[in-house]
Amino acid sequence: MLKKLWARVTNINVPLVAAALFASAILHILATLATPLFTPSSAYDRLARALTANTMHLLPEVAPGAQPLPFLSSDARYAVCHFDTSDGAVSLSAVLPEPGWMLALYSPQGEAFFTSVGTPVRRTEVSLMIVPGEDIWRMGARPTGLVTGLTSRGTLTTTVSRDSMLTIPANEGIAVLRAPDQGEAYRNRTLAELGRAVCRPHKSRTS
Amino acid sequence: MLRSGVLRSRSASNLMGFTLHRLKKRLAAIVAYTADWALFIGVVLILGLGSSWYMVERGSPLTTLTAGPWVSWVSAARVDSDPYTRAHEARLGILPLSTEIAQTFIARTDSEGRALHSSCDYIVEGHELPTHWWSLTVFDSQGRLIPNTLGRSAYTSDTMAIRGNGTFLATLSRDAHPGNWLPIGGAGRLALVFTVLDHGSRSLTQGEEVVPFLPAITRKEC
Repeated sequence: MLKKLWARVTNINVPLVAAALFASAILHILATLATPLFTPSSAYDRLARALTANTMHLLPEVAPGAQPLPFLSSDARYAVCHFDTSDGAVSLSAVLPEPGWMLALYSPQGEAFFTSVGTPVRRTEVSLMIVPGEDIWRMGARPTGLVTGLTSRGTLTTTVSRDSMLTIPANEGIAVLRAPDQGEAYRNRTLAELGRAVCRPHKSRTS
Repeated sequence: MLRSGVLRSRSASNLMGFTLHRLKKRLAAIVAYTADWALFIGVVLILGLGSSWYMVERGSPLTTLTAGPWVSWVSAARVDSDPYTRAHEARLGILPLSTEIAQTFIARTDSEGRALHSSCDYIVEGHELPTHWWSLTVFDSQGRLIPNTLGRSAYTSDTMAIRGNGTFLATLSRDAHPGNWLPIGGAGRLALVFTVLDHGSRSLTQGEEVVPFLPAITRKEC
């Protein structure tokens, strides 16, 4: 039996084995890359579909049976804006008053291309004009005026100045403002701060 | 006459035997060839799809940071995230916090490697992270919050009762417990999520600095 097995092992078709390994590698790559494409409904789609474009929506409290997304924790309250720049730039402003507050802008692929967090030392005010990549030249802005490197860690504590311009990788995306749950006593204050966040089509000063 | 008839019948049976033998050999060759291809396709499917599934579902040291039962995808929601991380997020249908500003750890087992289950009670014990906002949330294995009468699924650094020595202890159980209690009744398999959010200090969320602060999960009784 062992002899037979050994004979079988020594008779392995080496080119066929090499071809199998190569084909496995190709299939591995294709399956991995295709997984996001074959997902019936991405997190981005589920959120964006339910929201009116260019308006900040305060999401209801995350609770059992009322979770917009899986693994979305009830440790925070959320205000969300589905921004769409196909008809022009979008203004977005929010205040991150304390640690635990966070603003993130996601692309349709789920990449957070802009993030900012609240710090213990000061209130972080974020005011952005969101424009699609190609529009920046039409609007006459100089490339040096762009807020660049916002996703790099070095700029996390930066208070983004008023009217900063942010080019985005696509025409649309989702802005998520996250406020930590600090308990019942702080709930109204948290909701008030979230309610002050603005997301709307940008009105130019000349018009 | 008779002899020639016998000879003819013998040669006919020889021819039949030879043809049968050739047929058998050809059939064996076809079976061997088919078996080789079936094996080839089987190996390709198992290796290709299996390894992809494993890397997307569980991750590897290249894509995840593992500390005891806690696993974190190191490039979650980043612009430069790898295909495995993207596929993992797509499969779960989540919009995670970017690892630029946060570290999200998920545990599906206790500290001894046994699957977390709502039929058992657990103690989650850790150190406060005074310079960082953090939270501890319990989900079922599909990422759904567990219905309970208190409407409680999470504690944060603001709401967790911290002991005098800077440690905290939370109990996961079906029955009410004093202190920090997270109800888990009827959920089946569980997933515990520990999130640490940056204050912009660039100190913790680089990855391994968080590890010493990750809470231990101890099974008490089942």
